[in-house]
Amino acid sequence: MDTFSNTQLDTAELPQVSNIQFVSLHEDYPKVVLISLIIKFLIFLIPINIGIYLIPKLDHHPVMIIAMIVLPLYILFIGHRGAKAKQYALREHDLLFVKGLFWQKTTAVSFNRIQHIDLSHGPLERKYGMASLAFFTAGGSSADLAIPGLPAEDAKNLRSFILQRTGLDTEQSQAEQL
Amino acid sequence: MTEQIDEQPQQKENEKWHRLSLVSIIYYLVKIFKQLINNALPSLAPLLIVILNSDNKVLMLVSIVAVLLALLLLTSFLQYWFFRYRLTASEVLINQGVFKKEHRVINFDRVQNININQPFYFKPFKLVSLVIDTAGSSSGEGALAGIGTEQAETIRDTILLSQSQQKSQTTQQDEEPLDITPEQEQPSEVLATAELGDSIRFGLANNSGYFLLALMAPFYKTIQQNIAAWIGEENITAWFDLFSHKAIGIIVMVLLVFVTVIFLVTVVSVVGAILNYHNYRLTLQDKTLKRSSGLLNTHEESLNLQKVQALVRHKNMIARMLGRENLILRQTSSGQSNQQPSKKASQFLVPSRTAQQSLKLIAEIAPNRQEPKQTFGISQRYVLKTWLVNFGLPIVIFSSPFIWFANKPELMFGWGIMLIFLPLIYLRWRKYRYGITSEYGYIQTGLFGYRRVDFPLFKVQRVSISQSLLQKRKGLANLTIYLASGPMTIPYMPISHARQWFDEIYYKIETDQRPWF
Repeated sequence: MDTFSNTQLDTAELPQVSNIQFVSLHEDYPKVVLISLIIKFLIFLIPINIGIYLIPKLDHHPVMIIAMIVLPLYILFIGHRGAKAKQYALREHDLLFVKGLFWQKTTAVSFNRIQHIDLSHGPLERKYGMASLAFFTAGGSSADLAIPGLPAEDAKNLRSFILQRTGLDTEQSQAEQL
Repeated sequence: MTEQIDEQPQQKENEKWHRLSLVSIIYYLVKIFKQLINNALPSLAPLLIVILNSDNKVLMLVSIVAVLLALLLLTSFLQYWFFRYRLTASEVLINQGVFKKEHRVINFDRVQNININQPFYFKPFKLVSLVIDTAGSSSGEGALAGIGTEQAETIRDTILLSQSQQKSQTTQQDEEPLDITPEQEQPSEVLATAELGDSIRFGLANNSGYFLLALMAPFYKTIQQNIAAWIGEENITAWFDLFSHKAIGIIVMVLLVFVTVIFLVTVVSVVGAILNYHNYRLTLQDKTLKRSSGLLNTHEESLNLQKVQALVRHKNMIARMLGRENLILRQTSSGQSNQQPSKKASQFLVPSRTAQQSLKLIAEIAPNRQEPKQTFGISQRYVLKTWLVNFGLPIVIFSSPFIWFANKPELMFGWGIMLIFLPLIYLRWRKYRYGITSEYGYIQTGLFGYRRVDFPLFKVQRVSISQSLLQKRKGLANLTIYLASGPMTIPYMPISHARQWFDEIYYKIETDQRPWF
C-alpha cells in the first residue's frame, strides 16, 4: 500500500492455472487409502454390528443389510477413486494441488506465504515409502494445504526445495542456534 | 511507585524490574470481579442457598459478602505484588502469576497494535493501562495496567519506532525504497472524528442490547412473575376490562411490552455507544493510525497501516435507514478461524460514516485502491441451489419419515413455510458483486444492508477454486480467498473469472516484494 506502481499487464500473458500438467501421487497411495479405510471400518463397524445383532428387531431388516454392506463398499470405492484424483503441480513460485470427485477443488500455496511445513508419515505410509506434507500460512487454524501420499524421497526434496525458496531454512537454522 | 522510577537514571531503569502503581489493585479487582460475573456466577448459587436458609439472613449475607470481598482484595493484591515488568532494547518482559509463575517475552517486532486505555478509576491518578497485542496466540498479549500516562506513551513510541526502523532496514536490503519517509516527525493528520450524533447513530444501528436480551433469556419466567406480582392481579383484570374483547387487551399488552423492551434495549445500546465512542478521533501520523475515544474509560489504539489486511465497509438494515456505514480495518486474526475474530483484537472500527466520508478515508489509508471499472454479479443458479441445499432438501428429508410412517401429511405445510426463505436468498444473490483492479480486489455481500470488502491483492495468503459436478457443467465455480484476517468466498462465479482472479492474485503475490505483514 506504499508506493504506486501500476504497470499495464496483459491478462492473457499471466501464468495460467488452466494449462498446468499435474502429477499424480505415489502409485500405491490408493491402496494405502483402501487399507486405512478398511482398518477404520473394522474398528467402528464390528462393535456396531454386534450391537445390532443383539437387538433382534433390527437384525434382518433389509435397510440394515444395505446400510452395512453397500455403504462401506461405496465409501471404499469413492475413497479409492478420490485418492486417484488427487494431483499436484510444482511451479517456480508455488505449489498447486487438485482434489475431489464430485467437488473438485484447486488450491495453491505461494512459497513466500508459507509459515512452516510439516513432514509426517504414519506406519502404513512408511511401509509403502510415502510421506505427507502439510503447509501452513497465516490466518488459518489447521494445515492450509496438505498433500498426502507423496513418495518419501519426493516429499523430502520438495520440502527442502520450498524451504530454500522461502528462505525459511536460514531462519530456522538461526532459531536453532539461538 | 512511579515517582521512584522517575528518579532512576535512564540506563539503570532498563535493567530494573518495575512494579505497577498500587492503584492497579483496583484494575485487578475489577478484572477478577468481571471474570467472576462471567464465568463463576452459577457456582455462587450454593452461597445464596446458605444465606436463605440461615436464621439471621442479614448477618449471613453481610459476612459472606465481606469474606468474598476480602478474598478478592487479597487476590488482587497478590496479583499486583507479583507483577513485574522490564523493558529491553527490543523486548518487553513480564513476570506475573501468584501460584503459576508466568514469564512473558514480547518482542517489539511481533507487536500488532498497542492500546492505551484509561478506565475512569485511573483518571484521578493520571494512570493508564497499556495493552500490547501480538500476532498469533491470545496468550501473547501483555497488559501493563497502572503506569503513568507519559511512560505509556514513551513505551508505545519506542515500540512503534523500532518497528518502522526495522521496516526501513529491510527495504534498504532489498534495494527497493518503497516509502521515502522523512526522518523528522510528520505532523499528525486528523482523519475522522465522531460527534455525539454519530455515536447515537452507531448505537441505534449496532444494537448490542439484543445480546443482553438473549443473555437474560433463562430469567424470563422469573422476571415475568415478578412484574406480574408488582403490577398486581386486580390491575391486570382492570386493564383487560378497558377493552371490549379480552383478545384485544392481550394484543395491546404484548405490543406494549414489546415496544418497551425494544426501547430499553435501544437506550442501553445508545448509552453504550456514547460511552465507547465519545470524542472519537482518528489520526494518521507517519503510517500509524491512532484512535482515541471514550467517555468514562478512554481507549487509545495504534495500528501500523502496513498491518491492515482488508478494508470493510459495513451497513446493516438500520444503518441503511440512517444513511451511515461503519468502516472496519481488518487485521490478522489470531489462529482460530472458526471463531468470530474477537472484536477487541482484530478490528479497528470507524463508526458512523457516510458513504462519501468512508470513501475519502479509504483514499487516505489506501491510496493505491481504485474503484473497480466493472463489477459483476454471480449466477442466478445460486438462488435455487442455496435454497435447496439449506432449506428445501433438509425439510423434505427430515419430514418424509413422519409423513410416510406416522401418516402426518399436514407436515407438508412445512415445505411451504420453507418457501419464505427464497426471497431472502434472492436478496442476498442480488447483493453479490465482485470486481478486481491491478492492486485491489473488491467483494460485496449482504442481505438488506451490505458488506463491501476491499483487499490489497498482494496480501492474500492463498486462493482456492472449487466446483461441483453440476457447476462444472455450467461453467461455474466457487472462489475462496484466504486473507490473514479470514476467508471470503464468491460463490457461483463464471469459471473464467475464477481462474482470472486465481492467476492475477498469484502473480501479484509472487512478484510483489512488499511484506504482507
